Amino acid sequence: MQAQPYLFFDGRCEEALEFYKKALGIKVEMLMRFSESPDPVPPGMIPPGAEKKVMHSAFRVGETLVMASDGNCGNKPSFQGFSLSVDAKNEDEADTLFAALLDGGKVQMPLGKTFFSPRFGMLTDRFGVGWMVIVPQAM
Amino acid sequence: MQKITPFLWFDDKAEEAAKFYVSVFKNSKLGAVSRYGESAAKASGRLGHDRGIPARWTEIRGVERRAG
Repeated sequence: MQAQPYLFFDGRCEEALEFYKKALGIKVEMLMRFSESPDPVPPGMIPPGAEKKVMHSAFRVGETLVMASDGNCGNKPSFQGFSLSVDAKNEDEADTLFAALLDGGKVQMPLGKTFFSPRFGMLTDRFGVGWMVIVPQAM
Repeated sequence: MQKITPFLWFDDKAEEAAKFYVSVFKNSKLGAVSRYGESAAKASGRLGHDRGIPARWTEIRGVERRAG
């Protein structure tokens, strides 16, 4: 059994995928637009003109599969109450990832040493997704 | 980069939530739990209150998840 994150970008999914390609080196494994759906999209589910928006996508960050969609295409993405925690293999990689994800976003906790990690920081990216970058403590 | 892990913020209900999810999923168990101490409670503006839980590590069939 697996529990996988599914992110709703509400109209900015494609932009987000492009951003994460640059910031995290993600690999998009699957992308289907509403216009490509084998079943017709139920009336009223998405606004007129949103047919080319992303109905479903899947991308890989390192070894993790994350899924994403434009959902109801309301153009107001909202991500609250969770973060995605990214493991960096060392301090340098943590710095690089943090800076890349921060472009257009906001620092919530600057990168630094904590009791549980030699380098840890938190940010909200330009889409509102919360990220934690962490170098796992050597056990 | 190894992996990404969902981290859920429960704002005081982390322990309750973690116990609930462990009860829902078979082959799940609580991992390490660290709690706010007095100094962390002060730093986070929770004076006189030291029972919040900033981080919880549980394992669901080997998948590490964190909830704070």
